[in-house]
Amino acid sequence: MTSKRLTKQQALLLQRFVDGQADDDQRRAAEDLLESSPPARVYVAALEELGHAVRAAEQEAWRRASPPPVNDWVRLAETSTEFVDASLDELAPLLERFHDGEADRAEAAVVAGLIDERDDVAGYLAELDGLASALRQGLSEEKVDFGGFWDGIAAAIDEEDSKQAAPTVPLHSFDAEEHRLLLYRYHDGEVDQAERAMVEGWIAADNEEVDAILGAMAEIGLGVTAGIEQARESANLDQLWHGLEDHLDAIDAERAADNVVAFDRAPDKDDKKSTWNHPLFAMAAAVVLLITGALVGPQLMQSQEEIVETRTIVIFDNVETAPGSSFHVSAPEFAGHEFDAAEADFFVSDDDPQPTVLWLIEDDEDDDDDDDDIDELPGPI
Amino acid sequence: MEEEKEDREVELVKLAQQGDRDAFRQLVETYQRKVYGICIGMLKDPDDSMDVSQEVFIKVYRYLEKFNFESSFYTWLYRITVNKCIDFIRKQKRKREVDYDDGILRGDDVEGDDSILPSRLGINPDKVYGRKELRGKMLEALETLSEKHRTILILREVEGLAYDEIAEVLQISKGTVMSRLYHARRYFQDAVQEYVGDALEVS
Repeated sequence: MTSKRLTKQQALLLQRFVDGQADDDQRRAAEDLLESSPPARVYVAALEELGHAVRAAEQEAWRRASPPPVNDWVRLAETSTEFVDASLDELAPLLERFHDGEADRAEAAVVAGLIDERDDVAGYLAELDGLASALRQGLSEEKVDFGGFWDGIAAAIDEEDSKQAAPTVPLHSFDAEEHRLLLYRYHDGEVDQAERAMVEGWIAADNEEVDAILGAMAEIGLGVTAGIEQARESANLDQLWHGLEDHLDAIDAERAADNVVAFDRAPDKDDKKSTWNHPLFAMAAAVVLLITGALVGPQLMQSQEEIVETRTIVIFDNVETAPGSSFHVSAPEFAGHEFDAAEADFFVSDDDPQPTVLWLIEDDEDDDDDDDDIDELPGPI
Repeated sequence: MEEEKEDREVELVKLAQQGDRDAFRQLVETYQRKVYGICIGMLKDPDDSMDVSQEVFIKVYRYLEKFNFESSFYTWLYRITVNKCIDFIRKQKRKREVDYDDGILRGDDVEGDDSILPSRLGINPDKVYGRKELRGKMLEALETLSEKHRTILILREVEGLAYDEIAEVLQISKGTVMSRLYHARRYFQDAVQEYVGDALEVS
């Protein structure tokens, strides 16, 4: 496609023609030009497009609108002439600017004229519109799965927080002597965040010593667990409850019979101590009881009366214990009497941290289930 | 989930304190494996372990009404279990001659002990769980340790107690827990090497 470029005079002629300002001769000359020159037609189309836009504006806007400077008209005339013969590739940047709303007023007018003049331009712009539409549809909310959207954000936030919270730990070189206890604590889950980061740094660096020690720890855990698991598997634990029931019945019966005598707890510090609670009295009572037992006991034996039950009361004024502790009481001062030793095991509860009377012992009572000696485990006695 | 479990346990203990035998039975069934596990680890003999496990629960039943929830029920139970086992061992005079002592550490201090765990022995789950006799030997190796070392290893490795919990059960300081655990592991590894070393060579 070839054509002559419009001259400035031709452009002004066409402008007057479009504006209705041309006289008869000028109108005929313009019509001749439009018939023979495609650039003239594009130019006129562009002018009409501008006219439509301006007419569509409000009256006020129109008043305010400044007319395009003469240079713009000249440029419009030049570009319209140039673009009529341009290839689609050459026009593509202009068309894309137009499509994107980035073309200036003159360019937009030219493109509007080209659309009427060239099918390929109209097709290209339609293609751009289609592509944009397809993109918008593809990205529409209905097509996107937001199921894990917040989870992803939350995870990223957590990670960020964690990075901020974790102090930056320089990767110390591992020293078996210095850090072995740290590795043990790491194995046992007893490290803080900074320590964990340090150990994991060594692990990530494939430190052989760290690997060996942690591996050995895992082996030990496995060994201990495996041995006990096997023993547990082969045990018939169902029998445990059946064996227990008889004992529990006996305990209930014992309680019901009030066989175990419990004295009131020691008075609070603020309470006035009664004479009966005085430690001296308590000790005297115990001594009297024992002497009486020693004197009366043989007589009872001689009179062949059957001794149904003999009990010894051991009284303490104050015993300091930790709540829930179990301890063993031995009273060697009773040696030589009827009992070699008065022994008792007493379980001190949190409710009753300072018992007055500890235990009532029957002379034939075996300390079978009340004999926890926890010397091995240092206890606060 | 864990909280629900704890709430349920507290409820069971309260019911048992009021004399609800079924609630007590549920507590027994919940913990019998764990109690027996500690017993078998410390006593080795299955019958003795069963007897002592029963004694533990008898004692729990007897004193349950005094339990006031200041500690968790299981640490209280474990403490009774450990004490019962130690007492049983003493009574039966079954304490082994081999009795490693960590007294040289003087409490919590482990400074001055240069030894570290030797490298791996080649124990792995496939070997251990694939061969029953190996597991038996592990138990034998455990038996060679002193009461306190056996106890702490079981509480940590089998029952999975944290250092604080172990300290509460054994009534020792956290530092002593760490030091005792450290030695227990070393001794157990020595014992495993002695008892199981050859067996590990056989594929």
